[in-house]
Amino acid sequence: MNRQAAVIGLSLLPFVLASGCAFLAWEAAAALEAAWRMILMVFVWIPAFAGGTQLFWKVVVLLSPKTQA
Amino acid sequence: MAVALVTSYSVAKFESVKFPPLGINGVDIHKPDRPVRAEMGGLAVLIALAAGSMIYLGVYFALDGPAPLFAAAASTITLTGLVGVADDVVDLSQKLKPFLIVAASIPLMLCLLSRSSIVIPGIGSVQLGLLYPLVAVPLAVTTSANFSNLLAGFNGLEAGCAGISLGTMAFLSDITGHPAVAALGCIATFAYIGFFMLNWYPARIFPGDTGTLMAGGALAALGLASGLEFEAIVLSIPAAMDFTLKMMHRHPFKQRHMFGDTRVRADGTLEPAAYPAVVHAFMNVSPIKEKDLVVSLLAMQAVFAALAVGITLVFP
Repeated sequence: MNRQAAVIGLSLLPFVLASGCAFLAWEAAAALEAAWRMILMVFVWIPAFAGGTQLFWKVVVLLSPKTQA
Repeated sequence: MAVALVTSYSVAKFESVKFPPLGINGVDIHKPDRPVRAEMGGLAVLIALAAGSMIYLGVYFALDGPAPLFAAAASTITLTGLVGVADDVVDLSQKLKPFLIVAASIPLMLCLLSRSSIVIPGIGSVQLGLLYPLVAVPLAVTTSANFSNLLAGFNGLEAGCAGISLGTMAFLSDITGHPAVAALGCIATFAYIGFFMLNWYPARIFPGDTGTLMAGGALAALGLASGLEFEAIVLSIPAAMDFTLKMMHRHPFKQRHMFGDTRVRADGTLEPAAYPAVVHAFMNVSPIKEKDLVVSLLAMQAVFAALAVGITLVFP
Protein backbone atom coordinates (compact mmCIF):
# COMPACT_ATOMS: atom_id res chain seq x y z
CA MET A 1 0.00 0.00 0.00
CA ASN A 2 2.90 2.34 0.76
CA ARG A 3 4.25 1.84 -2.74
CA GLN A 4 0.84 2.65 -4.25
CA ALA A 5 0.75 5.84 -2.16
CA ALA A 6 4.28 6.66 -3.33
CA VAL A 7 3.16 6.39 -6.97
CA ILE A 8 0.22 8.72 -6.25
CA GLY A 9 2.55 11.25 -4.61
CA LEU A 10 5.04 10.90 -7.43
CA SER A 11 2.30 11.62 -10.00
CA LEU A 12 2.30 15.23 -8.81
CA LEU A 13 5.88 15.64 -10.08
CA PRO A 14 5.16 16.31 -13.82
CA PHE A 15 2.50 18.93 -13.07
CA VAL A 16 4.55 20.73 -10.40
CA LEU A 17 7.69 20.67 -12.57
CA ALA A 18 5.88 21.90 -15.69
CA SER A 19 3.96 24.63 -13.88
CA GLY A 20 7.13 25.86 -12.15
CA CYS A 21 9.04 26.04 -15.45
CA ALA A 22 6.10 27.77 -17.20
CA PHE A 23 5.85 30.36 -14.42
CA LEU A 24 9.58 31.08 -14.70
CA ALA A 25 9.19 31.47 -18.48
CA TRP A 26 6.29 33.91 -17.93
CA GLU A 27 8.38 36.00 -15.52
CA ALA A 28 11.46 35.91 -17.77
CA ALA A 29 9.48 37.17 -20.78
CA ALA A 30 8.09 40.26 -19.05
CA ALA A 31 9.01 42.48 -22.01
CA LEU A 32 6.70 40.61 -24.40
CA GLU A 33 2.95 41.14 -24.93
CA ALA A 34 0.65 39.02 -22.77
CA ALA A 35 -0.50 36.81 -25.68
CA TRP A 36 3.11 36.01 -26.66
CA ARG A 37 4.04 35.32 -23.04
CA MET A 38 1.08 32.94 -22.88
CA ILE A 39 2.18 31.11 -26.03
CA LEU A 40 5.75 30.89 -24.67
CA MET A 41 4.40 29.53 -21.42
CA VAL A 42 2.44 26.80 -23.24
CA PHE A 43 5.54 25.86 -25.26
CA VAL A 44 7.56 25.55 -22.05
CA TRP A 45 4.80 23.72 -20.13
CA ILE A 46 4.32 20.88 -22.64
CA PRO A 47 7.96 19.64 -22.90
CA ALA A 48 8.48 20.15 -19.16
CA PHE A 49 5.39 18.03 -18.48
CA ALA A 50 6.61 15.36 -20.90
CA GLY A 51 10.03 15.36 -19.19
CA GLY A 52 8.41 15.15 -15.77
CA THR A 53 6.27 12.22 -16.90
CA GLN A 54 9.35 10.39 -18.19
CA LEU A 55 11.06 11.04 -14.86
CA PHE A 56 7.94 9.68 -13.09
CA TRP A 57 8.18 6.45 -15.10
CA LYS A 58 11.92 6.07 -14.46
CA VAL A 59 11.38 6.38 -10.69
CA VAL A 60 8.49 3.87 -10.89
CA VAL A 61 10.81 1.40 -12.64
CA LEU A 62 13.41 1.93 -9.89
CA LEU A 63 10.73 1.31 -7.24
CA SER A 64 9.54 -1.94 -8.83
CA PRO A 65 10.61 -5.16 -7.04
CA LYS A 66 12.01 -6.65 -10.29
CA THR A 67 14.46 -3.76 -10.66
CA GLN A 68 15.45 -3.92 -7.00
CA ALA A 69 16.01 -7.67 -7.19
CA MET B 1 -30.00 15.38 -10.01
CA ALA B 2 -32.28 12.68 -8.66
CA VAL B 3 -33.73 12.26 -12.16
CA ALA B 4 -30.19 11.87 -13.59
CA LEU B 5 -29.21 9.33 -10.92
CA VAL B 6 -32.37 7.19 -11.24
CA THR B 7 -32.47 7.40 -15.06
CA SER B 8 -28.81 6.48 -15.41
CA TYR B 9 -29.08 3.51 -13.04
CA SER B 10 -32.35 2.24 -14.56
CA VAL B 11 -31.20 2.54 -18.18
CA ALA B 12 -27.80 0.97 -17.37
CA LYS B 13 -29.58 -1.95 -15.63
CA PHE B 14 -31.81 -2.40 -18.69
CA GLU B 15 -28.79 -2.27 -21.02
CA SER B 16 -26.82 -4.76 -18.91
CA VAL B 17 -29.54 -7.34 -19.55
CA LYS B 18 -30.65 -6.48 -23.10
CA PHE B 19 -27.39 -5.50 -24.83
CA PRO B 20 -25.31 -8.74 -24.60
CA PRO B 21 -27.83 -10.87 -26.60
CA LEU B 22 -27.90 -8.11 -29.24
CA GLY B 23 -24.14 -8.40 -29.70
CA ILE B 24 -23.40 -5.08 -27.96
CA ASN B 25 -20.95 -6.65 -25.55
CA GLY B 26 -17.31 -6.96 -24.58
CA VAL B 27 -15.11 -9.44 -22.72
CA ASP B 28 -13.94 -8.52 -19.21
CA ILE B 29 -10.31 -9.46 -19.84
CA HIS B 30 -9.19 -8.72 -16.28
CA LYS B 31 -11.13 -11.62 -14.75
CA PRO B 32 -9.82 -15.22 -14.81
CA ASP B 33 -13.11 -16.54 -16.33
CA ARG B 34 -13.33 -13.66 -18.87
CA PRO B 35 -17.09 -13.01 -18.63
CA VAL B 36 -19.02 -11.24 -21.41
CA ARG B 37 -20.64 -7.98 -20.32
CA ALA B 38 -22.79 -5.27 -21.96
CA GLU B 39 -20.90 -2.48 -23.77
CA MET B 40 -21.85 1.12 -24.66
CA GLY B 41 -23.21 1.72 -21.13
CA GLY B 42 -22.35 5.40 -21.52
CA LEU B 43 -25.63 5.63 -23.41
CA ALA B 44 -27.37 5.45 -20.02
CA VAL B 45 -25.34 8.46 -18.84
CA LEU B 46 -26.14 10.31 -22.09
CA ILE B 47 -29.91 9.71 -21.69
CA ALA B 48 -29.78 10.66 -17.99
CA LEU B 49 -27.83 13.84 -18.74
CA ALA B 50 -30.25 14.85 -21.50
CA ALA B 51 -33.27 14.14 -19.27
CA GLY B 52 -31.82 16.04 -16.30
CA SER B 53 -30.79 18.99 -18.47
CA MET B 54 -34.20 19.25 -20.14
CA ILE B 55 -35.97 19.25 -16.79
CA TYR B 56 -33.58 21.90 -15.45
CA LEU B 57 -34.10 24.07 -18.54
CA GLY B 58 -37.86 23.54 -18.35
CA VAL B 59 -37.98 24.64 -14.72
CA TYR B 60 -35.69 27.64 -15.19
CA PHE B 61 -36.73 28.57 -18.73
CA ALA B 62 -38.23 31.84 -17.54
CA LEU B 63 -34.87 32.95 -16.12
CA ASP B 64 -32.64 34.56 -18.73
CA GLY B 65 -28.90 34.93 -18.28
CA PRO B 66 -27.23 31.61 -17.59
CA ALA B 67 -29.79 29.51 -19.52
CA PRO B 68 -28.06 29.87 -22.95
CA LEU B 69 -24.67 28.96 -21.44
CA PHE B 70 -26.23 25.94 -19.69
CA ALA B 71 -27.90 24.85 -22.95
CA ALA B 72 -24.70 25.33 -24.97
CA ALA B 73 -22.55 23.33 -22.53
CA ALA B 74 -25.20 20.58 -22.24
CA SER B 75 -25.45 20.43 -26.06
CA THR B 76 -21.68 20.09 -26.42
CA ILE B 77 -21.59 17.28 -23.83
CA THR B 78 -24.48 15.34 -25.39
CA LEU B 79 -23.09 15.80 -28.92
CA THR B 80 -19.72 14.47 -27.70
CA GLY B 81 -21.63 11.52 -26.26
CA LEU B 82 -23.28 10.95 -29.65
CA VAL B 83 -19.82 10.88 -31.28
CA GLY B 84 -19.01 8.17 -28.71
CA VAL B 85 -22.15 6.24 -29.69
CA ALA B 86 -21.10 6.43 -33.35
CA ASP B 87 -17.61 5.26 -32.35
CA ASP B 88 -19.03 2.30 -30.41
CA VAL B 89 -21.35 1.30 -33.27
CA VAL B 90 -19.22 1.82 -36.39
CA ASP B 91 -15.68 2.21 -34.92
CA LEU B 92 -14.80 5.68 -36.25
CA SER B 93 -11.32 6.26 -37.65
CA GLN B 94 -8.82 8.05 -35.39
CA LYS B 95 -8.56 10.84 -38.00
CA LEU B 96 -12.32 11.48 -38.24
CA LYS B 97 -13.10 11.40 -34.51
CA PRO B 98 -11.35 14.70 -33.54
CA PHE B 99 -13.18 16.57 -36.32
CA LEU B 100 -16.53 15.28 -35.08
CA ILE B 101 -15.69 16.36 -31.52
CA VAL B 102 -14.69 19.82 -32.82
CA ALA B 103 -18.13 19.94 -34.49
CA ALA B 104 -19.70 18.96 -31.15
CA SER B 105 -18.02 21.96 -29.49
CA ILE B 106 -19.67 24.47 -31.88
CA PRO B 107 -22.58 25.34 -29.51
CA LEU B 108 -20.08 26.25 -26.78
CA MET B 109 -17.87 28.17 -29.25
CA LEU B 110 -20.85 30.28 -30.35
CA CYS B 111 -21.97 30.93 -26.79
CA LEU B 112 -18.45 31.96 -25.68
CA LEU B 113 -17.78 34.09 -28.78
CA SER B 114 -17.67 37.27 -26.70
CA ARG B 115 -15.19 35.85 -24.18
CA SER B 116 -11.56 36.60 -24.95
CA SER B 117 -9.51 36.00 -21.82
CA ILE B 118 -8.32 33.09 -19.74
CA VAL B 119 -7.49 33.30 -16.04
CA ILE B 120 -4.30 31.60 -14.88
CA PRO B 121 -3.86 31.29 -11.09
CA GLY B 122 -0.90 33.32 -9.86
CA ILE B 123 -0.65 35.25 -13.13
CA GLY B 124 -4.10 36.68 -13.71
CA SER B 125 -6.22 37.31 -16.79
CA VAL B 126 -4.53 36.87 -20.17
CA GLN B 127 -6.19 38.27 -23.30
CA LEU B 128 -6.36 35.78 -26.18
CA GLY B 129 -8.89 37.61 -28.38
CA LEU B 130 -10.68 35.41 -30.92
CA LEU B 131 -8.18 32.62 -30.23
CA TYR B 132 -10.24 31.79 -27.14
CA PRO B 133 -13.59 30.86 -28.75
CA LEU B 134 -12.20 29.71 -32.11
CA VAL B 135 -9.12 27.73 -31.00
CA ALA B 136 -9.03 27.20 -27.23
CA VAL B 137 -12.64 25.97 -26.91
CA PRO B 138 -12.59 23.23 -29.62
CA LEU B 139 -9.01 22.26 -28.73
CA ALA B 140 -9.90 21.83 -25.05
CA VAL B 141 -13.01 19.73 -25.74
CA THR B 142 -11.24 17.49 -28.29
CA THR B 143 -8.11 17.02 -26.17
CA SER B 144 -9.99 16.30 -22.97
CA ALA B 145 -12.39 13.84 -24.66
CA ASN B 146 -9.52 11.88 -26.21
CA PHE B 147 -7.46 11.91 -23.00
CA SER B 148 -10.27 10.35 -20.96
CA ASN B 149 -10.68 7.70 -23.65
CA LEU B 150 -7.14 6.46 -22.88
CA LEU B 151 -7.07 6.02 -19.09
CA ALA B 152 -9.73 3.30 -19.08
CA GLY B 153 -10.38 -0.43 -19.20
CA PHE B 154 -10.85 -1.42 -15.55
CA ASN B 155 -14.12 -1.88 -13.64
CA GLY B 156 -15.31 1.44 -12.22
CA LEU B 157 -12.31 3.47 -13.37
CA GLU B 158 -13.89 5.66 -16.05
CA ALA B 159 -17.17 6.32 -14.21
CA GLY B 160 -15.35 6.85 -10.90
CA CYS B 161 -12.85 9.33 -12.37
CA ALA B 162 -15.71 11.13 -14.17
CA GLY B 163 -17.71 11.35 -10.95
CA ILE B 164 -14.76 12.83 -9.01
CA SER B 165 -13.76 15.29 -11.78
CA LEU B 166 -17.25 16.49 -12.66
CA GLY B 167 -18.28 16.71 -9.00
CA THR B 168 -15.20 18.84 -8.30
CA MET B 169 -15.99 21.11 -11.27
CA ALA B 170 -19.59 21.46 -10.07
CA PHE B 171 -18.38 22.45 -6.59
CA LEU B 172 -15.81 24.93 -7.96
CA SER B 173 -18.36 26.42 -10.39
CA ASP B 174 -20.73 27.00 -7.50
CA ILE B 175 -18.21 28.67 -5.19
CA THR B 176 -16.96 30.93 -8.03
CA GLY B 177 -20.45 32.18 -8.85
CA HIS B 178 -21.64 30.04 -11.77
CA PRO B 179 -24.78 28.31 -10.43
CA ALA B 180 -26.09 27.19 -13.85
CA VAL B 181 -22.78 25.48 -14.70
CA ALA B 182 -22.73 23.97 -11.19
CA ALA B 183 -26.23 22.57 -11.82
CA LEU B 184 -25.09 21.00 -15.09
CA GLY B 185 -22.02 19.60 -13.31
CA CYS B 186 -24.24 18.06 -10.61
CA ILE B 187 -26.55 16.50 -13.22
CA ALA B 188 -23.53 14.99 -15.04
CA THR B 189 -21.96 13.81 -11.75
CA PHE B 190 -25.13 12.04 -10.61
CA ALA B 191 -25.61 10.52 -14.06
CA TYR B 192 -22.12 8.98 -13.74
CA ILE B 193 -22.76 7.89 -10.12
CA GLY B 194 -25.92 6.05 -11.24
CA PHE B 195 -23.91 4.27 -13.90
CA PHE B 196 -20.98 3.66 -11.51
CA MET B 197 -23.24 1.52 -9.29
CA LEU B 198 -23.40 -1.10 -12.05
CA ASN B 199 -19.90 -0.46 -13.45
CA TRP B 200 -18.09 -0.99 -10.10
CA TYR B 201 -16.23 -4.27 -9.56
CA PRO B 202 -17.41 -6.80 -10.66
CA ALA B 203 -18.87 -4.76 -13.52
CA ARG B 204 -22.18 -5.70 -15.15
CA ILE B 205 -21.73 -3.11 -17.89
CA PHE B 206 -18.87 -1.15 -19.53
CA PRO B 207 -19.09 2.55 -20.48
CA GLY B 208 -17.64 2.16 -23.99
CA ASP B 209 -16.41 5.17 -25.95
CA THR B 210 -19.79 6.82 -25.29
CA GLY B 211 -19.05 7.07 -21.58
CA THR B 212 -15.35 7.92 -21.82
CA LEU B 213 -15.52 10.56 -24.58
CA MET B 214 -18.48 12.24 -22.89
CA ALA B 215 -16.67 12.36 -19.53
CA GLY B 216 -13.73 14.24 -21.07
CA GLY B 217 -16.03 16.47 -23.12
CA ALA B 218 -18.06 17.29 -20.01
CA LEU B 219 -14.95 18.17 -17.98
CA ALA B 220 -13.76 20.59 -20.69
CA ALA B 221 -17.24 22.06 -21.26
CA LEU B 222 -17.74 22.74 -17.55
CA GLY B 223 -14.26 24.26 -17.23
CA LEU B 224 -14.79 26.54 -20.23
CA ALA B 225 -18.35 27.55 -19.29
CA SER B 226 -17.34 28.55 -15.75
CA GLY B 227 -13.99 30.11 -16.71
CA LEU B 228 -12.14 27.47 -14.66
CA GLU B 229 -9.95 26.24 -17.50
CA PHE B 230 -6.82 25.80 -15.37
CA GLU B 231 -8.70 23.69 -12.81
CA ALA B 232 -10.04 21.49 -15.63
CA ILE B 233 -6.44 21.01 -16.82
CA VAL B 234 -5.38 19.97 -13.30
CA LEU B 235 -8.19 17.39 -13.21
CA SER B 236 -7.03 16.04 -16.59
CA ILE B 237 -3.43 15.47 -15.43
CA PRO B 238 -3.71 11.68 -14.71
CA ALA B 239 -5.13 11.09 -18.21
CA ALA B 240 -2.57 13.52 -19.71
CA MET B 241 0.25 11.55 -18.06
CA ASP B 242 -1.10 8.32 -19.54
CA PHE B 243 -1.29 9.97 -22.98
CA THR B 244 2.28 11.28 -22.65
CA LEU B 245 3.70 7.90 -21.58
CA LYS B 246 2.02 6.18 -24.55
CA MET B 247 2.92 8.99 -26.97
CA MET B 248 6.63 9.01 -26.06
CA HIS B 249 7.03 5.27 -26.62
CA ARG B 250 8.99 4.12 -29.68
CA HIS B 251 5.71 2.94 -31.25
CA PRO B 252 3.04 5.43 -30.11
CA PHE B 253 -0.42 3.89 -29.50
CA LYS B 254 0.55 0.56 -31.11
CA GLN B 255 1.70 -0.92 -27.81
CA ARG B 256 -1.44 -3.01 -27.21
CA HIS B 257 -1.04 -4.72 -30.59
CA MET B 258 2.68 -5.31 -29.95
CA PHE B 259 2.75 -6.27 -26.26
CA GLY B 260 -0.84 -7.51 -25.68
CA ASP B 261 -3.16 -6.75 -22.77
CA THR B 262 -2.69 -6.91 -19.02
CA ARG B 263 -2.89 -10.54 -17.87
CA VAL B 264 -4.45 -11.97 -14.71
CA ARG B 265 -2.34 -14.31 -12.56
CA ALA B 266 -3.82 -17.32 -10.76
CA ASP B 267 -3.99 -15.36 -7.48
CA GLY B 268 -6.03 -12.60 -9.16
CA THR B 269 -3.20 -10.04 -9.27
CA LEU B 270 -2.52 -8.24 -12.54
CA GLU B 271 0.58 -8.65 -14.68
CA PRO B 272 1.22 -5.49 -16.73
CA ALA B 273 2.13 -5.54 -20.40
CA ALA B 274 5.71 -4.37 -21.02
CA TYR B 275 5.12 -0.73 -21.95
CA PRO B 276 4.79 2.53 -19.97
CA ALA B 277 1.28 3.52 -18.83
CA VAL B 278 -0.15 5.00 -15.64
CA VAL B 279 -2.03 1.80 -14.75
CA HIS B 280 1.16 -0.23 -15.28
CA ALA B 281 3.00 2.03 -12.82
CA PHE B 282 0.71 0.82 -10.02
CA MET B 283 1.00 -2.82 -11.16
CA ASN B 284 4.80 -2.60 -11.37
CA VAL B 285 5.54 -1.35 -7.84
CA SER B 286 3.67 -4.18 -6.05
CA PRO B 287 1.28 -7.06 -6.86
CA ILE B 288 -2.24 -5.64 -7.09
CA LYS B 289 -5.74 -6.91 -7.91
CA GLU B 290 -8.11 -5.06 -10.22
CA LYS B 291 -10.34 -3.68 -7.46
CA ASP B 292 -7.36 -2.29 -5.47
CA LEU B 293 -5.85 -0.88 -8.66
CA VAL B 294 -9.01 1.09 -9.39
CA VAL B 295 -9.15 2.32 -5.76
CA SER B 296 -5.53 3.57 -6.14
CA LEU B 297 -6.34 5.29 -9.45
CA LEU B 298 -9.44 6.94 -7.97
CA ALA B 299 -7.32 8.08 -5.01
CA MET B 300 -4.87 9.60 -7.53
CA GLN B 301 -7.77 11.41 -9.24
CA ALA B 302 -8.97 12.61 -5.82
CA VAL B 303 -5.51 14.06 -5.07
CA PHE B 304 -5.69 16.13 -8.27
CA ALA B 305 -9.26 17.14 -7.39
CA ALA B 306 -8.00 18.37 -4.00
CA LEU B 307 -5.19 20.23 -5.80
CA ALA B 308 -7.72 21.93 -8.11
CA VAL B 309 -9.83 22.98 -5.11
CA GLY B 310 -6.72 24.22 -3.28
CA ILE B 311 -5.59 26.30 -6.28
CA THR B 312 -9.05 27.89 -6.58
CA LEU B 313 -9.16 28.74 -2.88
CA VAL B 314 -5.59 30.11 -2.76
CA PHE B 315 -5.92 32.12 -6.02
CA PRO B 316 -9.60 33.19 -6.02
